[in-house]
Amino acid sequence: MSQVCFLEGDKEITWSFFCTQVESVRQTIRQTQFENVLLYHSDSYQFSICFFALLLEQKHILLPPNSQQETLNQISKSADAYMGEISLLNIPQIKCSFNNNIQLENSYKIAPKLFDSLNSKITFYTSGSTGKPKAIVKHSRYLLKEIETLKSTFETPLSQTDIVLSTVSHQHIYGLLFKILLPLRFGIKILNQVFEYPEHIQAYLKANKSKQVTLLASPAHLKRLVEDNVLLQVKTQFECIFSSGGPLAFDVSSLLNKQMSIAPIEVFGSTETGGIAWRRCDKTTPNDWMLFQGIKYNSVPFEDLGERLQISSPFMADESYLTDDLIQKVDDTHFVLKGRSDRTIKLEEKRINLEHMEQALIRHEAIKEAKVFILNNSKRPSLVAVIAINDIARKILCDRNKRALNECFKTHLLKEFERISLPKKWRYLNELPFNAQGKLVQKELEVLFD
Amino acid sequence: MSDLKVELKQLIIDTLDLEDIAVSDIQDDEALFVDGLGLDSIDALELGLAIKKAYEVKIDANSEQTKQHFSSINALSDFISQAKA
Repeated sequence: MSQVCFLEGDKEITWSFFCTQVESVRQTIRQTQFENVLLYHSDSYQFSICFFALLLEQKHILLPPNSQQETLNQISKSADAYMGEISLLNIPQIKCSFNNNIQLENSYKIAPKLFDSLNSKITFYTSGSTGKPKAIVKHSRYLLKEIETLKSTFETPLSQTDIVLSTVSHQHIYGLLFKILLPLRFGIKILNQVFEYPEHIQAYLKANKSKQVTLLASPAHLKRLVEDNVLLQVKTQFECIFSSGGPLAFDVSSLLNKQMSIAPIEVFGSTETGGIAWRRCDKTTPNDWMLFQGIKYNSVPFEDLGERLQISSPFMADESYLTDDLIQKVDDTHFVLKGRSDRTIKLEEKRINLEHMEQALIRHEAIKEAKVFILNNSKRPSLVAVIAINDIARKILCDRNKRALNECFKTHLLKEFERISLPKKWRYLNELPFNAQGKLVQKELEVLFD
Repeated sequence: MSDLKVELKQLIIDTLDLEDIAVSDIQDDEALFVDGLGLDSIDALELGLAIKKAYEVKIDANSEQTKQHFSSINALSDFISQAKA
């Protein structure tokens, strides 16, 4: 096991330094009485210090999925204090102060122990239908079980990996498990950077030619990468590419395989359930999804849409969980994914519940009714909105212009949705076109965008 | 307004399929991302691809510099002119 756990540019952060900082923050936390602590930090290293310190002090961590103010405000109602690079007025902040006088003996051996003594709860938040972020509480033991399974499932590529690189955030379960917990538990170095452009990954690998890496990517990044694959020149340095957070198109994964001789490992799961299944498409047709060890599944008939996936898993407390994913059974351990049964969508890996967004829109004083949906006929599938407006909105249209009204509604949504989740196109009507049966016909709405 | 800047504005509108925004609505010194034009991180990837294709330039290896190059129309046009010079 390496003595180094994080890399920050050329700087190496050792286990002993990391553990010392965790210990120092633990001391700060011990001086407070707070039980439920909201944690947001975009820097993975700083995040990890707080994360471990809080869990080791048996505090309950609340993890917001983004740092939009309304999201933070909502979640802060369930918290006693907060930590990280955000600012909240309604609850106190626990400030990280580092005490440089702490001496830990054999801190490098402490690393595995760090995990053994974790015993607390983490609450994740994700988009639900209620208009409020949906809270999912998980005991740390389930996360630990899951990383053990991930480790044994992906033993070969991981054991040959020096460094983990990432394009995803650790505030979500995929990033937390794969970018932070898995590498730390098994002694793989974490590059403390979120890559935006593949050019930056290429530059890093060229400067570190002897290093083999595992890339944690999102389908959104891989989709753009294959269009101009600048990682070809450094392809031998990749041990493995993981893709998760949303569906990866088969043509993207096969093109990537053709370009780099590496078929990405796709992981399917959800915040509620943890990882469910995985696959690696290295043939000319898509492979079926294979369950992780220990998971069992059923298919449950759902209206006339097909069958929903129901699982039991060692990675969650509930005995079984009925997902909103539609599947087709292949055998006891394999299935094909067939889409969703509800109005939750994934757009560039951001989970959005359309109901939730419509309710948020209707709360705006200028909106009577709202309908949002995915439009597939443009260059990239995008979210669009059809809005029934009132006189307030009409005045804005009249005094200013359509863009001004778009901006007005976008600003409203930004209080709780990330920019990337906002509708790209807007249509304003006096009434939504309900038919005689009181239904909105999807085709009629789509025509508005032709 | 220089031709390159007009061209870039049109490229942004076409590539990202922007509605309700004309070339004349985009200010040269206005921020392209977040505030200002309000583009997001996926737009950044798409725009990066389009700029590479259209002008045969390379995206800088350094993340901070890339951010600067894509910060506004002025910055983008300077970046392309220098790369082509």
